[in-house]
Amino acid sequence: MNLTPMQHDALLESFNIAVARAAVSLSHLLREEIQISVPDMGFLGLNDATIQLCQLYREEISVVTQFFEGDIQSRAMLITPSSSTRKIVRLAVGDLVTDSDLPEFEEEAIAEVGNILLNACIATLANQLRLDLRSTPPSFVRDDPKNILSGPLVAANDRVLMVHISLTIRNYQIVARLAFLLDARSNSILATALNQLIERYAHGVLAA
Amino acid sequence: MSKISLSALIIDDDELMRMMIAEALVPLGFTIVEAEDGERGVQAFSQNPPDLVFLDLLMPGINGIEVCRQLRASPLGRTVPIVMVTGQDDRESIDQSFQAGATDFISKPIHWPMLSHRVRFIMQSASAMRDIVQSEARLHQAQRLAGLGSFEYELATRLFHPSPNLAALLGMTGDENARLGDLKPGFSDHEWALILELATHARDTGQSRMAEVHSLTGHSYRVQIEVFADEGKLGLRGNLLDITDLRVAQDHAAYLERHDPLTGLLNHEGFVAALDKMSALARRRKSDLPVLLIDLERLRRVRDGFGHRVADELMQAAASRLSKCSDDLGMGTLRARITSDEIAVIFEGATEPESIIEASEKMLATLEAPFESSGQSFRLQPAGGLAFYPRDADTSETILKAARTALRKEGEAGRALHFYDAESDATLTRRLRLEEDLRDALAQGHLELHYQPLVRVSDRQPVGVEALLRWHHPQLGAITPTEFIPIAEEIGLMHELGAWVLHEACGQAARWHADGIELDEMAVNVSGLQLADPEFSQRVAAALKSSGLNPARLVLELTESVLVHDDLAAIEQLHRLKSLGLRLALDDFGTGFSSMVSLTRLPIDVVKVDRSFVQAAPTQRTAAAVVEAILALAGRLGMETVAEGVEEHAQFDFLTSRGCTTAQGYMFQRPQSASDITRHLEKTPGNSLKILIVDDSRLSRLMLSTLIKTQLPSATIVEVDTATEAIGAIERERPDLVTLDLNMPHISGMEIAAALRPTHPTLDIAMLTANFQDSIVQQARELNLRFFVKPITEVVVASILAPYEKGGKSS
Repeated sequence: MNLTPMQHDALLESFNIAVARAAVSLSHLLREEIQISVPDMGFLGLNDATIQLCQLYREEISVVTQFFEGDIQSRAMLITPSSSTRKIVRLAVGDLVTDSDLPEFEEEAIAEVGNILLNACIATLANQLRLDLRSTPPSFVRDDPKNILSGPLVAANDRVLMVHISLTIRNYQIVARLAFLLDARSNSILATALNQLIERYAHGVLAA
Repeated sequence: MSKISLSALIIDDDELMRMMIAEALVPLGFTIVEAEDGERGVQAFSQNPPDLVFLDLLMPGINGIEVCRQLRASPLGRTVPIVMVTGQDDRESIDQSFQAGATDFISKPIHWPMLSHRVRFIMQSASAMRDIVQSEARLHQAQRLAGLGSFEYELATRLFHPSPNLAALLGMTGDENARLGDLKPGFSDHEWALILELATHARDTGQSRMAEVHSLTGHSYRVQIEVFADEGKLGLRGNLLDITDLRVAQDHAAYLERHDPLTGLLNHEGFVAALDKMSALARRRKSDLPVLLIDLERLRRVRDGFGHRVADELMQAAASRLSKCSDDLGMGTLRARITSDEIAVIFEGATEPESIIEASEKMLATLEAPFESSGQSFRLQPAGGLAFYPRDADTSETILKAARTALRKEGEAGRALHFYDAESDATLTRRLRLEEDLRDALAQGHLELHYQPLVRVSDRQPVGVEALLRWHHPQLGAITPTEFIPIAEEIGLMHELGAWVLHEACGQAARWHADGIELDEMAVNVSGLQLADPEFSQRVAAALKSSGLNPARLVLELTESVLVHDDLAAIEQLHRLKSLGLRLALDDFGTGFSSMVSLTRLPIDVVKVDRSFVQAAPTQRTAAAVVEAILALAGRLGMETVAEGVEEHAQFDFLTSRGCTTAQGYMFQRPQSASDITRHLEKTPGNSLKILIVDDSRLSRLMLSTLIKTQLPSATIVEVDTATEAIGAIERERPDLVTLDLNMPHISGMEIAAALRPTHPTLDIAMLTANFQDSIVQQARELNLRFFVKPITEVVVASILAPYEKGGKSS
């Protein structure tokens, strides 16, 4: 699907609102001030998306995946370079977990960060777009960037909504991607929902 | 000359001369005896020894010189002054007279007025001389008794003057004309050279030296030679002290110092000295020195039972068997009696381990055969520990310790010989240390009682505690009762320890009662040793009395093993205890040897099912069958049942369904100090908030439980990790509050809440999720759930707990 400039702006604005809420949640979790911005986003085919990921990350990546169901179906992923996750893990668990136990909790901690970030985005989007969405518990893998968008659950004509995210914690910047795999039906429902949102903007329905 | 009894003998053939001399002597107080020739003179002298003799030099018959010589030779004539009278003033006669022993010489014509003065002087000199001779005689006597002899040797003339007893002292025949060289045959060349060296040293340096020399007859002398100068003559004076007896005594003392008087073996000192010597050799050879320590432990009992004499006889017999065995083996050994019942054997020449082991086993075998004493047969049951010096230990003390450690090792049954190994030594060292420290632990407050709650299965309220003894060793840390209780039993500390535990536990229970903490049960463990004490029931009664604790609240826990024998005394003891009004529990049931039958036979009120069965019951059919059988039988006999070591819900569910009355374990509470457990018990039951955490994420559960405990320490927290378990847990636990994760595998939190609401319309459920979209919030509201957005933070938990702060639940 190709978004009209208006749809693009509306969706980008929705994501900005979503990550702002996610930043508040995450800063509670990590007890640090966190800034998240969304410089860009776009729809890509599977191949182009994979090429982009491979160019961006020349190392192993950590991926938190959640499935969303309801009005639209999507596989949502938070993609970060593995090297950047350990710093977040320590912040996430605080002093609940000793150094020796830390590796054991690492995946759960990253999954929880993904859970909060993805749910904050989905919940904000769902609220704005008036959609009803349920999420499954987060799962976590580390893998090569080229393998992320393949697998039995991926249909060849799926499109990837690739959202660029810049996360800054204490001067430490993490370049992350949110990727939403959407099938054709979901794409069209999203487009409709976006149009309705634009309409509501136009009528000032969301002013309050 | 006031002495009246003085007599003088005048021997002269000239009568006139005799008269004139008598005339001169009478005024001086002398009585006079006269003799007209030498023979009569000698005779008169021997009949009545005079104080003074006047003797004519020239007489018919024997002349004066010969008479003088004869008088001097008689015992009484040695000191009497003899004045020679002669008409000749020739030198030769005078010399001869003096050589014959004359005291003085008067030549004719006699100057009579001078004679009285001269006699007076002679008498004074004689008296002085007598004193000297007497003191010299005494000296010689003393020297003889002391084994002291002396000699003088004039360097210029080579004259040798031995003291009278010197010859006897040296075992030689005496000779007036002795020469220094006469001493030589008594000594070996080496010893003689030693004496000459002393002499030359004295002569050349003027300084005296002392040396010990040994004669060929086996005597020892301390010899000192010094230089003396007398009237311009230079000589050497030698003193000899016979120290043979001293040396013999010293050697004997030295022997006794190093040997055991009973067996003639080396003693401990001797062993140390021998090992020191041999260790140098072993080091040079770079081989290990095997040391076998043999313990005749039975000998101790023989000594107690049959007395020292029998034990000594057996020890002697054992020692001689060992020396015979050693001879038979043809192996050089050194044997020492180390303690009253231990003999150490050092194998001097052995190098092959096989031959040492074989020899050791033969030695033990020879001691294993029965001994006879007083018509009785004794078996000493020897045990041997073998250690190698310096491989296992490198001092004489530590090698014995190592061998002893090996000896005490619990080895394969039937084997009497054990080898040292460092690992078991460490165990023993630790044990010995604990033995030592345990004696002081009580006084120093290192022992403490901890308490673990006993929980009623029906409502999970604490109904009692079990008192558990804890030892915190200042250096070694926590020591478990399984380690130190057997030690306490062995060193005879169990009664004291047991009494302390009883008093402490009863006192604590009474204090809790006074503070309004009502517990039905204070369980105290009782060891077999305590139970065997005939006065145990009195001790328990005393503890109850002094604490004021209601006896019905005291439960004594006994292990099966203390009742394994059909011991009537033990059963009587149990009845005596029961008559005090307390209850008895059978601990660790299922592990011991007793059968279910013992439950019917013994006056038992409570059966505690051993943890091993409890923990295995949910997964193992046999364990489950055992637990079921115990619970069923105990239930039918009207006994209370306690499941020990409950750690998991599955175990608890199993017990609940099988009718167990009470449970104990980490699932509810670990053993804690009195103050900690008091805090736990203080929250009055029913007012304590029970929270069920339902979340698939371990991290989330950890965060929730940690934050809840911080904010509401009295809360009881139960956790489940799957949605499927949640409903069962809610039925079972009846929590006041459920925190429910929305996002869980298979079933969402929302579905669980929906399923619960019809039966639990008022249950407080806090839904936690990162997904805060409106539709979900709406659904939560419709199900009367409280809605909280993750992450889990202090603020979020505070909001969840807000209704429960300031006491009391609100819905």
